[in-house]
Amino acid sequence: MGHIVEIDSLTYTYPNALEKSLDSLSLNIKKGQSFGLLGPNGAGKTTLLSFLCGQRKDLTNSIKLFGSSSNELHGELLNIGYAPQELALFPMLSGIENLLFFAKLAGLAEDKRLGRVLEMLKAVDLQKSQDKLVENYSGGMKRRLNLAVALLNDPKLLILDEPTVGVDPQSRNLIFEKIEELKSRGVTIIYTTHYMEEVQRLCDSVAIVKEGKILFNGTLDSLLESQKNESLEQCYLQLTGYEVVD
Amino acid sequence: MKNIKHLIVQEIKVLLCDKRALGILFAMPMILILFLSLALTDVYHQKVGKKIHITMLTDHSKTTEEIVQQFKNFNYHIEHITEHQGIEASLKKEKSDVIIEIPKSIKNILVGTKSADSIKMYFRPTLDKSYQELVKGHFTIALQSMVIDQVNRRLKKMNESKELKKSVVINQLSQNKNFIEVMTTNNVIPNPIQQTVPAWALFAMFFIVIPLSNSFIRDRNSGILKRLLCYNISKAELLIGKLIPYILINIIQFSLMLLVGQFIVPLFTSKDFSLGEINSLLILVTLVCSIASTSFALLVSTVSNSSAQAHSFGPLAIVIMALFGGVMIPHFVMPEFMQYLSYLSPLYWALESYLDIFLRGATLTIVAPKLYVLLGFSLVAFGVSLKKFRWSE
Repeated sequence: MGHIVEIDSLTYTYPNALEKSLDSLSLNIKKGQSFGLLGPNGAGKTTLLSFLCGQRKDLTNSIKLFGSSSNELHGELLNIGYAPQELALFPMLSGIENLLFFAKLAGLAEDKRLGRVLEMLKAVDLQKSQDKLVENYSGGMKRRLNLAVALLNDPKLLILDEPTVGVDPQSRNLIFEKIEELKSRGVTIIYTTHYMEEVQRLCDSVAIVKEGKILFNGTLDSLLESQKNESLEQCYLQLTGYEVVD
Repeated sequence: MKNIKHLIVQEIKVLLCDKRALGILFAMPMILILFLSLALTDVYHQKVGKKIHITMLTDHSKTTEEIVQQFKNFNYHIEHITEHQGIEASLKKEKSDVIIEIPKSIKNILVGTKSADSIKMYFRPTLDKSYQELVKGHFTIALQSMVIDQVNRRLKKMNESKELKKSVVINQLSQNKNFIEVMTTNNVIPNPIQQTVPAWALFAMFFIVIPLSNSFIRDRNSGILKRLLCYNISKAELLIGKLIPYILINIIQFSLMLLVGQFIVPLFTSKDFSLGEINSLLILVTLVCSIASTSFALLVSTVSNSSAQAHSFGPLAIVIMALFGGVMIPHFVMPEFMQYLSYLSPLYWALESYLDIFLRGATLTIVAPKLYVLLGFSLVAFGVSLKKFRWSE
């Protein structure tokens, strides 16, 4: 099985920062894998994800997506679905208007656009609120819409950055079900979260990152085995340390 | 190109959602133009004013009555009184701008035969020096005219007795007070409306920095820009997509402000603001000025980390550029070194382009160099925006 994501010794320091955000980070993600990216705040997870989405193309010689160097990616970017940690939506527009806009950018043909948008609204159970302004949505509805936008282009690689923050159990469950369905269809998923039970439910491989370096990279079972611990949370704390990270 | 089109349509949609903000965006500059034009109507009004209040403290002798009569020819607001209590207090309270005290022995001064008290002039301390000089000059002329009239009357009597014919010359001079004709040159000085309408309209146009930076920083902070990354959109496409809707807004704003200047301001003042013919040159200048103002707004948006930063830096920079650029103080009344500094302000080039059209009937050949400067400014601002662009906070 080929790698969809290949990262080789990626190092990055933000302008004016003293410490590296990513420090010689190497990582491979196979096609169809559901990959959990864990780490304390400021570990470099979001920075890494933004690189995978094509941000700073000039600096990403050490990243290959779909077998191509990420600075050579053009149309391939449309195979990526990205749900950022922030709710990247237009609050003053309705749910359907948001989806229609992103569908246009995703290059969906005009005759198929509305159909796909309605399909996504149904998938995240928002068809009844499709005409409501997003600013009037609840936190869970916004998160579901955020996921729907990421799924519009039927991506081969889905990147989800903490998609369940501030979400009620019903919405969370719906998001999990949708991700499981995508997983079963062979979509490669990169998933970051601070909730260990989510990783246990959704991911088969995991990488733990701290201060831009990989502390562990392997399957969930091998992680539990290596730390001689039954709880993923204990493993995580043993690897990343117990002190609070600001 | 397709992406740019989608981004433009989306930005317009978002703008249309907030109708109140959009209304303010168009109404406020119109109100600004109206009130500023009214407030500044008399700023460059020639300094002979009906508004200068002069109190003449004299007796009612024949001589003083004649002086007052001559002085009234200059259209001052003159009050003729014989007694006055507290000259200084009256000036401080600004009841009078000038008090002229003419002694009873005025006839002696004019004839120059006997010693006499001098004529005393008191000016309100805050009265402009040039007004003071003007009143002094006019009063001297009034005195001379009165003397000439008296001499003429005497000569006429003598003439009737066939003694002197020279009096005719003096008589003619005395009768023909308009022997100096004021000529105008090509260096037209705009009337207040002609200066303030384009100047303050441009000033308002540059304030597009507030809505544009709001929109840009909101999209950056909410992660929308980051999400757009996944759709293979370049920085340049994104910036152009942001720019064009605001250029359209700017053009509409400017057109509305000009219409206020042409049709509403003249209802309240005697000055007219001639828009002239709406020709392709006016449209071109407005387009280039809009490109310059929105490029500047984009620059402020990309270098600012927050809306608060953009809202403090942007307007302050505009006020400074307006100060240098001849918006607040017309370029032609600035000291020489300030006139050189004004060349650094895009507002100067924009304003001069409009004044060329409105006042000097300029052609494209004359306006083009100014438009090149504005386009150069826009290109630099856009280039720096591209360089400073960040997808996320």
